[in-house]
Parts: sequence; structure tokens; C-alpha cells
Amino acid sequence: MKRLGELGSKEWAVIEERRRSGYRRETLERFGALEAELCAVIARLLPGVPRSIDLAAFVDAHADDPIGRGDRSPGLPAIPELFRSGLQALADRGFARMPADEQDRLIGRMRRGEAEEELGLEAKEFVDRLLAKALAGYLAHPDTWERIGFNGPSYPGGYAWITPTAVARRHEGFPGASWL
Amino acid sequence: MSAPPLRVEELKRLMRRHEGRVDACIVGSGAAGAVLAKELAEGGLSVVVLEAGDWIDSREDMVNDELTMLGRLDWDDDRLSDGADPLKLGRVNTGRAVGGTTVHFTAMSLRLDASDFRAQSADGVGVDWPLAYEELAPYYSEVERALPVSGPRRSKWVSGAPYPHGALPWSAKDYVLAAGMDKLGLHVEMTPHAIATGPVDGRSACMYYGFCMDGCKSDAKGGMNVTYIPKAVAAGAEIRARSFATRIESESGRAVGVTYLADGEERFQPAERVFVCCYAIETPRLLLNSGNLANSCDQVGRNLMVHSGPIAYGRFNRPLDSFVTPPVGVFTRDPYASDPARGFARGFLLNTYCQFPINFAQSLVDSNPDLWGQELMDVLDEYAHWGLVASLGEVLPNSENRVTLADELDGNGVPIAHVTFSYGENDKALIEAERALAVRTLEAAGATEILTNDGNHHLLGTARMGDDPAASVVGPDCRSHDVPNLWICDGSVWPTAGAVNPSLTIEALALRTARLVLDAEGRGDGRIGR
Repeated sequence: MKRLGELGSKEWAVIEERRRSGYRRETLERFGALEAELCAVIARLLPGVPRSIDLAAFVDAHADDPIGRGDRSPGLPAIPELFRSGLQALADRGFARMPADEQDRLIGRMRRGEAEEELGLEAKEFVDRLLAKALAGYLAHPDTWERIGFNGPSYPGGYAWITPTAVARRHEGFPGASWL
Repeated sequence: MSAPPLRVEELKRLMRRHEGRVDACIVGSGAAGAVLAKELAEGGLSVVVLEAGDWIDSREDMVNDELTMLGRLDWDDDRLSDGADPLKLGRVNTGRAVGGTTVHFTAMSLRLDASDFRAQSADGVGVDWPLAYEELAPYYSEVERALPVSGPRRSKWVSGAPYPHGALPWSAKDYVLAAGMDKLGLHVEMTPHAIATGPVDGRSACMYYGFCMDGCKSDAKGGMNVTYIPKAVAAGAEIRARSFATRIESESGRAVGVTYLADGEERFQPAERVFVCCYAIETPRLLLNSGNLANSCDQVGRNLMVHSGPIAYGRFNRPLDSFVTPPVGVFTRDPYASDPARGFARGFLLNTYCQFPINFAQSLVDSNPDLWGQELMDVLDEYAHWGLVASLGEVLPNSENRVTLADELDGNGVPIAHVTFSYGENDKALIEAERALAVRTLEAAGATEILTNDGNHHLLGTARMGDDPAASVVGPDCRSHDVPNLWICDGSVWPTAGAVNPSLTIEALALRTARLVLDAEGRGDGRIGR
């Protein structure tokens, strides 16, 4: 039988490890040669992510991890190869050194599916999957939770601040609060 | 009888091990396989269940963290997906664990409506089921008591009310969003859930952790892993985890057993009867890879259906904290019945909903190509302020929407699944109606900003049931028309999709199938639901 204090230890271990490392690695294993492009495209997709969260390292480490999604269109390369060829295409165009508004216009075309010929690859799949992967890292970090108002793990004690009075106070002024 | 243990270690200790030929080999331990295992074992049959996924102990293996659990509970293997509307596959629709997809399901437990069993006669679309609601109703009741389902004392719509457990409480999002539904004249009730609201069988009542879809740590959620699986083990069934079935072997038109991979080697489980319960992609994949078994009608893999489910996201001025309490709250089934005035057949339901941060962001950016950069960061910064109205609509069967085997092989040398899907005209009209009503609900509730996505849920069809062996794979008892000792029992057999989450109906169908098998063996006691 576990003592109560040990319950939730896995949750705390996850939080502490992410806070401690911020996913950071000394060198990128897969995309080391394309690090400038990887960092540049993530910085435009998710601007203002604090330095404590290293999303390029997260994407590098999890490129081959489906993270719950296993489908791909016929002919689409495996995701790590898609990322590599996409980042190479950006490097060939000097993406990392472009002014921000030029970078944004290219990302916009990629997201809308208008850059397939321009980049010579499945540019929408590339940028969509890269964004989804980076979001998984960003939104799994406890610093992000504090910023966006997500309370993280609720086990084992539940959300301690959620007492009936606290809930009622938070909901004052809700459009639906007077209903029922 | 005292309740069987919930801890995986204890279950493994008391589990019987079967050697040689068994009475029943069940492939898959989800909503159908677990129910069959418990019922057949209690009926005196020797039962082995082959499960590709692993045991998941709620204390030891489930972590209250979205990223940790993404992939751990999911069938996220490589699959090809195309068509005009390629499906996303993985967490969104298929699980992999002892307990199957019910380990991460939302636990919404609604019954199909009587009209869902006769879409062709009522509306001239799809096909009729070879059985009627009335034949399934007693099994619905029994499953609702076994899980148990919590829900309202009475309901405007088809239901199991009064439910064995009292309804879950309303959360902040429910009060806010139900006010919008109310202004539109929609009737609102708390959704029935397979979530215990009082202690039962050593399981805790719901603790409102909110992490239902990352594995329930309080055991209140009635996934198969804490309900039918422990009882199946107590009755003598053996669950073999990490055992991936590759072929059903047959001789002279009868199944003789299942070849599977475990611990890196190929093994064979001989069996008197084989039950395929792998859900609507892996079931046809297994049958097609078994020499096109049970497919003289050419229907295996065809008529793949989903439930259409655009979600409308509304921003409110104060935080809703939707992540507290189970993700699905109140719902309305008012738009469910066919209405000729709407310009499409069949219908849908709306419910309040919550997505945890990763799911929330990924679902939004997938459907909104212009949402990225600062605009996206602004949405994420107000995560706690967004309230979700989700929809669930009926998609009609189309034989060109199908699962086939790709040329590419997986790591085990089995061809990977190739899934082709496109919405039809009726589906598209229905989806726009879903989206429009969800958006109007948010407007009426006072949302200051609204976004939508193009989601869908669940996988159904691909081994449809029917009376005609030339047009269907199994009969109303889920037994193959071609192979008399082979049953297919899961969401694949649904001829049409209705518009409710499928687990409760899959469980009720499996319960009925088990009783029919036992009756045919003279082992049954003639019960039609308890």
C-alpha cells in the first residue's frame, strides 16, 4: 500500500523534469545542420515562447514519435524525412536570414497549401505537422500552463482552489450564471 | 461474490492460463471483446483474449499529464489515409490497451434511437439494421447497470433513465453554454456517462480530475479495464497482452485458430470459435490478411463511417476552466430526428466539451490555416476562457469509403491499413447544420469570439450486419455468413452510424451475441438482459 504522500509522484516528476530541462539538448540529434531554419520557423509559428522552453530540441527529439497520430497520405515520406526535406528547402531559400514579414508570407502560403510547387514538396503537410509537434511541446510545459491558466495535474488531491465558494466567485458576471 | 481486484498485478496473479485448444479465442479486449470474454467465461467456456496493447494500471501507469499519455493509450501506428476528406487516425478514434479504446474514451453512454435501426425505411437513406431497438433494449439496460452509467432521473429522449447512478454535476461551462442552448429553445440535460458518481465494486466515485481521456486515475470511469476485464479474469478468461493477431487460420470453411505475435515470436492459438473485435480498421485488416476471410459478399472493409463532429470554440470574458470535471457536460438531442425542412436526412446532437491544451491547439490549427503566429498565441493565452460546443452527426454509409491493405508492410510484415474516406452530399449539408447550430449556441451564450474546426469521431462499418449473405458480412447475431464458427463483434458490424458515441451499443451488441452463443450451446439460461 502506498503512502498518500507518494501518490502523484509521477506527475511531480514530469513537471520537475520539464521545468529543469525545458527539453534542451546540447546538440540536436536529427536536425543539427538545419537548426537555424528549425528555430526560425518555430519562432514565427509560435512567437514569444520563452527561452526556458526549447521547442527546436523538442521537435528534434520527437520527430519520429507519432504522439497519438498515425495517419499519412500515400506517398508522404515518414515524418522525420518530411521535416528534413522541408527544413532543407527553407535553408535553400535562406529562410533564417529573411526579414520576419517575408518569413511570415512564406509560412502563410505553406499553411494555405499555396507553396507546394514553390518548395517542391508537401509544404502544407510539412508546416502543419511541424506546428502540431511544436504545440505538443509548448503546451506540455508547466511554464505554459501558468501562462494560459491551465492547472496541470489534478491527481491526487483535485484542484485545491476549487471550493464551491471559489467557483461561485469566479463565475460572477458570467452570461449564464443567473440561469437555472 | 466480492468484487474482483482492480490492480493489474493482482489480476495477473489470479488469472488462469489456458494451454492448447480453447472454446473461444477473442481478438481484442475493448468494448466488445471484454464483454464477450466475461460472459462466455461465466457461461463455462474456456476463453483466451489476444490484445495488441498492454495492461494499464490506473495507479502505476496512468499519469495525469496529456503529453505522457498521448500514444501510450492509442493505436497510432503508420496507416495510409486518403480520399477527398482523409481521416486523422490515432488518439482521435482508436485506442490500444487492455480495455481498448474505452481506456481513453469520454464515457458518453447514449442509446441509439429506434429510428436509427431503420434509416432506409424511415428516410430512404443507408440501410435498415436486421434487428430492432426493442431487441437491444434489455441489453442496453444490463450494460448500463454493469458499468454503471450515471445520468438524469428522467429524459426527454431515448435513454436508460432513471440511471443506476445520479447524474454528474454541471460545471461552469455547462451553465454558460446551456444558457445559449436554452435561448435557442433547445432542451438540455446532463449527458449520461459510464462514470460512477458513487463508490462501486471497490472503485472510487468520480473525483472530477478531468483527465478522463488520459486514463481515469480514480477508476470511476467505466472503461472495460475496470469493469468487464476484471470480471472476465475472475471467471477464468485469460487476457494475453502485447499479443498482435496477424491471421485467422481456417480449414474447410471453418476457423481453426489465430496466429499471433508475442515476445518477438509467432504463436498459434487453436480455438473452437473465433471472435474478431478489433474495431473498424483492424478488423477488416485482419480478415483481409487472413486470405480474404468471411468476404464472399465483398463487403469486408466497405462502408467505413465516422461521426461528423465540427466543434465550435467560443471565447468568454471570464475563465470557464472547462478542464475541471469530465470533458463532456450537458447535451441536447433536439436536432437528432430527421427533419425534411432542413434539406438533409438524419440528424445530430450537441454537447458541451473540453479539450486539454495540446488537443485544443492541434484541433484548431488543423482546420484553420490562418491561425498561427501571434493570433494563435493570443488564443492560447486565453485557453481557460474558451468554451466548446461539440457536435456528433450521422454520416451515411458509402461502399467506396473503405479499408484495404496497402503494399507497404509494418514492422511485423503485415500490410498496413489503407483508409479511404470522402463525405457525401448529405453528410456535408448535415455538417454545416451542426456547425451553424453550435455557433448560434455560442453567440446566444455571449461568446465574444468564435472559431470552428472540422473534427470527426469514431470508426464504424466495414463488416456490416444484415440478413442477406450476398450483401452483408455477419447476421444479426454477429456471426459470419460464410464461416459458421467466426463472429465479428465491434463497431464494424453497424450498418448505419446513428449519431451517438458507439461504446454502449457495441457493449450491448456483444452482450446479446454472447447470450446467443451460450443459448445455442445449451449453456444459456434464456436470459435476455438482466
